[in-house]
Amino acid sequence: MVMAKTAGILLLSLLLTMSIITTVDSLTPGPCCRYPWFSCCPAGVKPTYVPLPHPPISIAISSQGNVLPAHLLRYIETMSSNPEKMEVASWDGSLSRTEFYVAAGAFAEQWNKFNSALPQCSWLPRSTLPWLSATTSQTEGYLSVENMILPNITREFNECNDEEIKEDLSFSDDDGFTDNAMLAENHSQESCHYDFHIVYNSSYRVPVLYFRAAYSDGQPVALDDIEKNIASSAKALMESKWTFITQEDHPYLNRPWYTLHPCGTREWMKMLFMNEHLEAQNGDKRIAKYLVSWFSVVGQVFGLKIPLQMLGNWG
Amino acid sequence: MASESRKVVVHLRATGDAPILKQAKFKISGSDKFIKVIDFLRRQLHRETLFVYVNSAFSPSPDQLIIDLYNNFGIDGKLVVNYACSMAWG
Repeated sequence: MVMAKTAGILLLSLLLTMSIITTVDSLTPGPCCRYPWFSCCPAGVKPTYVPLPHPPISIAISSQGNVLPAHLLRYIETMSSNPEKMEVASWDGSLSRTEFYVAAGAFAEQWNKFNSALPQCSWLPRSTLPWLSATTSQTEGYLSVENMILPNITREFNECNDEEIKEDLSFSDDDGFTDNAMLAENHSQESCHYDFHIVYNSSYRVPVLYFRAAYSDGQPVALDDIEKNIASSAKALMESKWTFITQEDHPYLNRPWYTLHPCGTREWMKMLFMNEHLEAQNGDKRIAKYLVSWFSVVGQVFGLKIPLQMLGNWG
Repeated sequence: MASESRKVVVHLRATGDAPILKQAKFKISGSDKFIKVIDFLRRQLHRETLFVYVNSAFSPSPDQLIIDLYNNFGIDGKLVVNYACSMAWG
């Protein structure tokens, strides 16, 4: 009985395998195979892929008070309200070399028009490769404002110096002795002459401010002394990493100059232009305004104010 | 002189990931300097370092007079001032 049963099972399994083999044999790979895991399928039969039902995926943006986060709201607002802003929003805050040349021309013109009391700004055409005359293009060069006496810095010099003098005097009252020679030698009484060069940085694709400072007798001012005397707003700019002072080779003069590091420039330039409310804001206007806007931030490091007319007459 | 003591409505707008103020519009005397707005934002946001700029793509010097800024860049009877917090990297 048991034997018969097992024999039956064997026969059945044999039949089953046979049938499978025959069916496999009858199959031919057809052009219908859309999925790689269907190695073959009956000719003319298109396999349909029925995915297993997944639990529905729900994305919930949770925030307080059932309000979308502010940056999303602003994004939606910007996208929907003004398609022109898209162009500004997609702009990464950088300039090409030619654009820099155009911007520099506009800046120099504005500067010389409205800053008549300050040293004039001029474009110096230079080449980084002076021995190759063919590479000297018109757009190579930098803006230069030289021999600037900074009002804020000299004033602060004097202020802190006044205290020193007072201390000295109170001390000398006790002693009945004043050392005038000491004060005369003191450099902090003098005003510093600053040279500024605005140079294009092709790695960051932004303008970079190079500067150096010297006392009136020509002795250079140490970086420590410069940092000590820059305005408080400059310190804020430095601390927040919008910019910081480093020493680098001047790309055209090949001498070490101080520079404001350009790593944050693109970021804040983009921000300055992002909420631009001017009508018909186009690329040309942006380039023309670029250096003025840029200098309004960078100039704060040295307490330099941009005249409002310089910004105002763009419309 | 009369125009300098006039009140100016300053609209403070957050940029980037800067927190939004509950009250965004303030009246400030025109004879005040821009540093007052910066200091106010610093106190409100508890941040020392802010990037503050006016809606005409420039960052005013702290000792600029509010009334001058308003006269040059005021839109619809108010001066729009944007602010951003310091960068997250660097």
